[in-house]
Amino acid sequence: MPGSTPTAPFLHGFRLRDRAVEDYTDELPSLREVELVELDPQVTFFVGENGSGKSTLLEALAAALKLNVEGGGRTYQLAFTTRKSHSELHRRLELDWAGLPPRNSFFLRAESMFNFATHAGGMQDVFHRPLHEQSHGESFLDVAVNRLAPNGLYLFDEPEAALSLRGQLALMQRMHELVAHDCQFVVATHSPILLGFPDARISFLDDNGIREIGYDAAPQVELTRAFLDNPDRFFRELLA
Amino acid sequence: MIRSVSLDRDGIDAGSYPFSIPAIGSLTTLELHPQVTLLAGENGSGKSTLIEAIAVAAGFNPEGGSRTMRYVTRPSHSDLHERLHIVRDARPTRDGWFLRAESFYNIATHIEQLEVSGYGDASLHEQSHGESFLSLVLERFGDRGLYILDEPEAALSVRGVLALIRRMHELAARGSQFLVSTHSPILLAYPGARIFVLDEHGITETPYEETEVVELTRSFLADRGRFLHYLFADA
Repeated sequence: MPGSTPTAPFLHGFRLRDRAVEDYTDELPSLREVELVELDPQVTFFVGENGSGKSTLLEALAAALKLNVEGGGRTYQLAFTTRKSHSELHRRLELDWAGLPPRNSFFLRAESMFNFATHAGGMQDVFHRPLHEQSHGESFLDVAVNRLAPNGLYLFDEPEAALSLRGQLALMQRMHELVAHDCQFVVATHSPILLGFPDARISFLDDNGIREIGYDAAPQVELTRAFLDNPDRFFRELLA
Repeated sequence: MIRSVSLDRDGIDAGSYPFSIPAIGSLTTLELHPQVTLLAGENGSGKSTLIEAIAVAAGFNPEGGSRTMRYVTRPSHSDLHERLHIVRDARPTRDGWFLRAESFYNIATHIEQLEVSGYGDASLHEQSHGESFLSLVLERFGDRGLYILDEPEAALSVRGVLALIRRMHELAARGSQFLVSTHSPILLAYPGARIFVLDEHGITETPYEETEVVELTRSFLADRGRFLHYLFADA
């Protein structure tokens, strides 16, 4: 039936309403003045320093979408929690839907793949092998290949954490396939490679707020380029 | 500190895990650099398996943590550590941590339960993943320590990686030793380090400029349009 299949884009973005509850995220300069966060219809990256708030923002989006904030799919919601370490930011978040909600959605944090693997014991039918027998990066890629399906909205928090450069390229190939099948991605990353995904929106978080930047201006791209250009000179200054 | 690690190859079953991994199956002796030794290789090349086994053989918990932390939420990946023979040098080890990127989340919880002080003002959980990792390295790592780190760049920005390198440089000058597995082309450039690449041929000492991650990253940054054109055509 035409029109009944949810297609990307799912979200135009989201608004942050006035704060009603106090929260440590009030202390994050990058988010203090932010009212609107726009998303690309296909791929949006959040970049910024450690502690700039990009993971917090992604986590809040995941919580507003009712995805498990420790990572995992909808079926994992609240099934396991090591500790409540997320913020209350999601309560302020108002989603700007573009159409029907996605058929599939998933929030994957590289740092909790370990916990995810421990609790995915009943899912051997989905994965080739029990996750603990795979290397960290292999299991992550398995999730990307087997759990991510067309018509989905996917949130990744630093997926490069688990991946070699070849692994990142394989993930980009998969994302490229899925973007062509009505998927939308929101990804927080430090990687200059993932960030090179064609035509993505790059939202940079720092003390001045959130702004859109080009690939070549992203700190991880500038710094990595400068470094690889002349590692010896870079080290002489760094270690002086 | 560790001078070398040797595998007792007596009666190993080359077809069974983890010896079925070429880098593990072909291991005889790995001579470590007195300061910094780096392991590079693909996902699944065996570097995490090897680094964990070396850590356990050196007295660490397979989950990671300091040498005094003893808690187990799961057994180690393999019993490879039982076959590893560690030759120490004359330097006594006064401190030490084994950190695996994938279990750092659990370690933060554990440290909190112990109410150990000295991690900065905020709880490790209230800092971002990368910040808590750096707090640990900056505030708890000390002189004459043995530090075994599995992909420490995992949570770090490029600036964070540079801060880590600076701290490693300080500590190495004060008698500490690092064994680090990494995918980072920046960390891999640590001056004077020994780099071992694990791949289908085994374990090979490789100059920095010849490592695949450096070559690929350079070519990607030089012309990502062309790089991605081939990558996506290949899918």
